[in-house]
Amino acid sequence: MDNRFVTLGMIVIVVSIGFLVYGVVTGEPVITGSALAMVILGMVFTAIGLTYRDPLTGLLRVYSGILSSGLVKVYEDLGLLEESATRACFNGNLVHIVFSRKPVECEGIKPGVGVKSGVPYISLAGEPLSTGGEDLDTAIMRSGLAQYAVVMREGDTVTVDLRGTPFPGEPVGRRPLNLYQVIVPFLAASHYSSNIEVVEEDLGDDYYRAVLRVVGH
Amino acid sequence: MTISLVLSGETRWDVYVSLSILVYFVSTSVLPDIREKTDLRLLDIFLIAVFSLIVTVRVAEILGYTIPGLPK
Repeated sequence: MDNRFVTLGMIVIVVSIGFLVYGVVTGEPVITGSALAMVILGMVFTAIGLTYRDPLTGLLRVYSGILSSGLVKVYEDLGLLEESATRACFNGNLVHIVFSRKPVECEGIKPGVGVKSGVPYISLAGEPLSTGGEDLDTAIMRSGLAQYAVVMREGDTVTVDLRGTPFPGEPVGRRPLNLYQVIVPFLAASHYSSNIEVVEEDLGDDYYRAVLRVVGH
Repeated sequence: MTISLVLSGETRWDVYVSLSILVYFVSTSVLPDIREKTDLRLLDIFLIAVFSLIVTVRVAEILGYTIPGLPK
């Protein structure tokens, strides 16, 4: 909700209603019509103010949902804090963020804890996020994840460089799961509609860099 | 748009309302940012209902019907 728009809308509506009453009483159709047009404008401002959503809200909802999942505790108990391979598996309806000691294939990955080819994994799932047809770096900047974002794809390799990250970056292996370790592969998988393997990651207080690999469906 | 109608001396209040509604829908279509960050479905339904009512009344007048209580 944006209180400024609500306030502006209510003021416009109140003033317009005043003119509307005046126009009706005096029988001036021009004033009546103009006042009605302004009432509609006030209603639009009020509706925008009441329903405004911060663009980061959608991403934070995904992240907080994943973080509050009891699976995060299992992630810590599996010893994945110190060293883990990260993959984002895209299957159309869901994106799975998979943490395991060694990379696992995405086929057959299910949410929760599992074992694939003898490698235990933990998978956190969420619905794909649309970037609205924008480039991935534009979508990241518009979402407020970083002030500057450069995403370059060469073949199957995607390089992500985020600067001015408002959320504190902690080295891999600290608690809780860092937002960028979850959201960036998640966004990349949603955007490219493909499975993503995190090859390298580097986090700092105001930056996040990663090299991702598109490994196909 | 409203100023243009005032300057042209338009006296039918439903013209002001219906054109405002059209401008709203065109603006929110041309500027997708607005719809991405807000949920205007209720307002859309209300304005479409008002617009439909205005069109219905005018069509009825053209066809020779008058709806009692509504100004011409």
